Amino acid sequence: MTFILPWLLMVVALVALLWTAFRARRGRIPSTRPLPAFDQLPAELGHSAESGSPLLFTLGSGAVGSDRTLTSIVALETVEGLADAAVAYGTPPVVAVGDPTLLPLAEDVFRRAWNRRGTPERYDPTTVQFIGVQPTVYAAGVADLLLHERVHGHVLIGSMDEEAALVTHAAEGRGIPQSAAADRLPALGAIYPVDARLAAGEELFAGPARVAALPRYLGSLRVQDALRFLIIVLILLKVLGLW
Amino acid sequence: MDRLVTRILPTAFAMGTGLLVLLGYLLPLPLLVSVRDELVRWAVIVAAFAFILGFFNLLRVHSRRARKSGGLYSAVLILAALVSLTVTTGALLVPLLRFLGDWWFRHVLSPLQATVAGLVAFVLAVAAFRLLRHRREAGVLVFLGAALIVLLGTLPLMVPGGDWLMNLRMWWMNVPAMAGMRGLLIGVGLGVLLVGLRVLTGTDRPYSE
Amino acid sequence: MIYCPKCGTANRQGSKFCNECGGPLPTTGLRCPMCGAMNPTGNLFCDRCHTRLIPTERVLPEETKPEPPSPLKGISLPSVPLAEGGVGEEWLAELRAEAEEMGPAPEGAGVAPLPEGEIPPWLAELTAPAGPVAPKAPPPEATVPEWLAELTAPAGPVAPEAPPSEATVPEWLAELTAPAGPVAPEAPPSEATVPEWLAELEVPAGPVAPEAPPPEAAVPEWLTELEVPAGPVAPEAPPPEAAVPEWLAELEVPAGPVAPEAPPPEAAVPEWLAELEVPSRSSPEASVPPLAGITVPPSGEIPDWLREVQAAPQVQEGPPAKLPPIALVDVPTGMPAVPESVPPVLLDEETPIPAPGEIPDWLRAASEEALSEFGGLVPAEIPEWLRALQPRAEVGVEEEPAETEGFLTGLRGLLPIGRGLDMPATAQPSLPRAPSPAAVARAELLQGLLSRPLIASPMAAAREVQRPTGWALARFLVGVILLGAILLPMLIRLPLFGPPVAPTVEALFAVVNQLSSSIPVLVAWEYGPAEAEEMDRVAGPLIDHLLRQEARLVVVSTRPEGPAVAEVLLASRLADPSERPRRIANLGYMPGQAAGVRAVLGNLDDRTEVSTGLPASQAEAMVGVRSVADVGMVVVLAAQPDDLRVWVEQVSAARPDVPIVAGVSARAELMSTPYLTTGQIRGMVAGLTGGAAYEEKLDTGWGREYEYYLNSLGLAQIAVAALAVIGALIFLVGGRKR
Repeated sequence: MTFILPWLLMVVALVALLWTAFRARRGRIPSTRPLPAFDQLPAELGHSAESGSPLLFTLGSGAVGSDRTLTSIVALETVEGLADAAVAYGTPPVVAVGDPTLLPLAEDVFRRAWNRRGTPERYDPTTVQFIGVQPTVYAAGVADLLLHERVHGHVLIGSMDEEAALVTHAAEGRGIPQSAAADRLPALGAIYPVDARLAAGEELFAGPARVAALPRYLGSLRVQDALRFLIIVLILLKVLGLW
Repeated sequence: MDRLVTRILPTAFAMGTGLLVLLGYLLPLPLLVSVRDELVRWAVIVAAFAFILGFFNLLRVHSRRARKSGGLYSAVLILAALVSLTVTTGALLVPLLRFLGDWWFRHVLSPLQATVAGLVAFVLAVAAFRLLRHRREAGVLVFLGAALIVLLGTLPLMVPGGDWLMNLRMWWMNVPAMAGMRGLLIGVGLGVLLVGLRVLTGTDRPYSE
Repeated sequence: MIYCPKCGTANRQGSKFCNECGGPLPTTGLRCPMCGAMNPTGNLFCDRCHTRLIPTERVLPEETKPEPPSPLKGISLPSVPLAEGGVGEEWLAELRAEAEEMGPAPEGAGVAPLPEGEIPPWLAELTAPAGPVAPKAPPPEATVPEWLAELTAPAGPVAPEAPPSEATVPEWLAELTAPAGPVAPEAPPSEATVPEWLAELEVPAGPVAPEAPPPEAAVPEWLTELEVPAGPVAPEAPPPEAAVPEWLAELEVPAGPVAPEAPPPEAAVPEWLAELEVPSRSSPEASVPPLAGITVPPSGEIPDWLREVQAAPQVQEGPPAKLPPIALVDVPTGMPAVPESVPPVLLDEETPIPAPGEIPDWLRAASEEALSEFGGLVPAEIPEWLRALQPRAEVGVEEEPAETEGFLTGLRGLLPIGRGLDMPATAQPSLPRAPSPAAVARAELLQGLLSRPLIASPMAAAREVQRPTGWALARFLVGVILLGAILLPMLIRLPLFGPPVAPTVEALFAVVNQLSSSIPVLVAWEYGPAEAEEMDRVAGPLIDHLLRQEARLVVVSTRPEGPAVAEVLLASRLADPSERPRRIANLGYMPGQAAGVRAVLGNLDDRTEVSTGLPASQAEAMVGVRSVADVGMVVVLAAQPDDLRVWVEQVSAARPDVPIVAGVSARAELMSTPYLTTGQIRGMVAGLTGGAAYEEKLDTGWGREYEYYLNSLGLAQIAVAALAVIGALIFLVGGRKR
């Protein structure tokens, strides 16, 4: 049973995912609860366009091909949900990545956004910046961006540990408004005391749904919530000895 | 044709390779295992090649910043990157230059990284000091209480009740903190599972349109 | 219901295309243009920001939009054409129906007179008198059309004038057809408003001199067929020279009683006059019914002025324009009244219309006088009936406001006010009834921005620093306290802490103690320089213990800097450097993390030893070691719990029976403990405390250093705890920064 249960859960998740995506395409769009960390992002993007200073997206040190791959993918999808608006405003954000495997994916997001706009020549290769592989080096480099560059707002979303404190501290010291979404304990402990809108743990995976609001994201979020309740029920049953 | 190249082919390739690797883990067939291992090696090679892309991106970004006012740090970074590249490449090619690489690593890079890591402790202390400046909710009090228990219970204080603090810390780490951590990990695990399924089924295509 | 985002039409649920405009309907949802949120297709307002998603007014496609009425240009005729199915056409349709009911008039018999009560008064003037015709009372002044008021009867024969341009010939007149026979007298015209085209005609003040012959290109057809009336025509005041249309100046209207005129023989009836008959029922666009009261001039006698006009080439007019709304026949009782915009044809009831070819008396007299006195110029004399047609200021009629701008400045009555320009009573405001607080805040912000004086500020190179209050002081205070806490134990021996306690170290110690001599141990070095200060104190005693057990260490790392960090520690812990090749093999960095771990576990031979540069298969320490299957134990030195997890998972899958032990940082202790409790790892040393405990158990001589570190760590932790409490008290009392 211990071996079968994870696979069973995966099959159930897959079926539920496809079903909710199908229903969402038919117009049955599920609702999501508000998440201030993501709900403010479109407005922040507009404010950055008005001020002329870009937003800074910190995607963390997660690499593609590691156990942090999917967290980085979700962070990238959140950025992608804002990319079209960002290029339309003419103030694309600065994206700082901590692993070079994430670099081409992040560059492609903005390259496609400019292509969709019809002005591919306006893509700036320095939109996405590779800072460093070591987490502390990466955090120091991002802190330098926050301290010395014109940045309107800071969004930390991705896989980071306690070095996130360096980044959030630098932003707070300059009065830069920031939003943060972290799925790792050390990062949550470092971000919680800081003045930032925080999305903790699995709320990070709601970023694309809140920003882009595409049916597949919303359906996936609904399945995630349902599976969480299912697991809670199974744990309770096991603890109570009923299963 | 454009749609075929930018959307259909990448999606098919990604889905196909993902399923192959997954089947290689699920079904212990020799053919599948060999295909899986080969594909994983290819992924490692691509990941290594990405470092080259990252290096050139670093040079491009900082060469542009070095030309602006206040670009001294960027100029130093470029210089340091080139020196590191030269030293380590030389150390690999010329064994006599290995000591230079070791010296560069031990006396320049390592202390710098350790310094930055030490700053993290300082920043965390500042954040602990300003904890109640921004938040006034019940969770803040729990956070503060847990921080005090862990900080004061790490070492056995030579004061009455010092052992009690250590036991409290041990209980806190094994029960409430562990429970919260597991709950967080379950939620994150579910999110990762669903994102992975979305990528495997081609619903999410971060690599194409 | 699904609302079309283009035209706002409500469509049935499930529709894919709009029934109204044909545009595609959203199937999955409506994306808000403001915030980008997806909304169900039935939403009118966005659920998130309350922006309206569907247009408030139905916007029809361009091809279905009705064309706005275009004002007629160039002529002072009623400028509002009849709309299709409008009020104006009803009276015409009714007239036609009535005329159809009357049936076609027999040829040559003329039009049977209508019952006395059914003939409009103004039309009664137009009848050709069969006998003595009573002088007609002049029509009320209010109903005299302007064009007619400006008419002046020529004193004498009037030279044929240039035919009126097409712009001055009223369309209704162009389509006039005289009745074939005498027509019944008609009632005087109703008190309809005078059309503008008629109002522009001025009554001549004196006799009118004979006018120049009209240009050949402008003679209307009907005018060429006009015949001078046979009877004498009373002289009338000629119209002013500048204002009388030429075509009208040639008309002879008797000023007083007109002798009955003999109807012309049938052979001499002009074609246009012969064609004056009741319009047939089958022709919906039939012209106006024949005029009642038009006298046929005696046959054979064509006045000179008309003769010359007849000689002028005919002007082919274009298709007749649409008739302005003119009531030319009496509206029978019971039928809808003629609309106000319909100008009546006003003629003096006492003055019959001269027969074709017959010069009216007033025209003859005017011409005679003009020739005699003014050498051909006859001053115009306004007949009484015409004078009576002068427009008088209407009392009580509200004057429309004059235009104030543009080329229409000063003109009145150009646009009907109040017709279609007002908002319909049922129109709903498009704004939401209660703006959201966010919208109000944005509006206030915009107002505040607009009210600010416009002052250009220089562009700043970097963002202005808006440091929080007390920022620098807090950092300084914390820095001083932390520094003091770290340095003080190194200067003063503080007996604050007892011996370190680490229960997990016991199990680890026991496992390592069981290793046999020269057994290969795979060491995963998963930390870099940033964590080296702590992890070296954790890994050091463990490496010492392994070396003491005569184990051969095979070092690998999935971190790029891992092998270099390992070299530093190994070099410091190895007592005899010459033993290095036999005791330690550093196989370097493996990219790919989990994939790299799996690859190296399966094959260790294809790697290179870092210190010597030799292939792994040739390294002395690698004798008999090809894969993880050949090692006696796996030691994972990880600063992050993920690295431990990866190794545990991969090694358990490849070699479930090989023991795994771990040395982790204090940060990773919490997440690594479950592996220990579940038995996946046999022992664990965590953090500086665990390392100190292990060192104390091993007694390798590094005790004093650990004592410094532990005291500094403990004092710094106490300082941070104190800072947290002090800061909490300060900000609790001082208030929260919003």
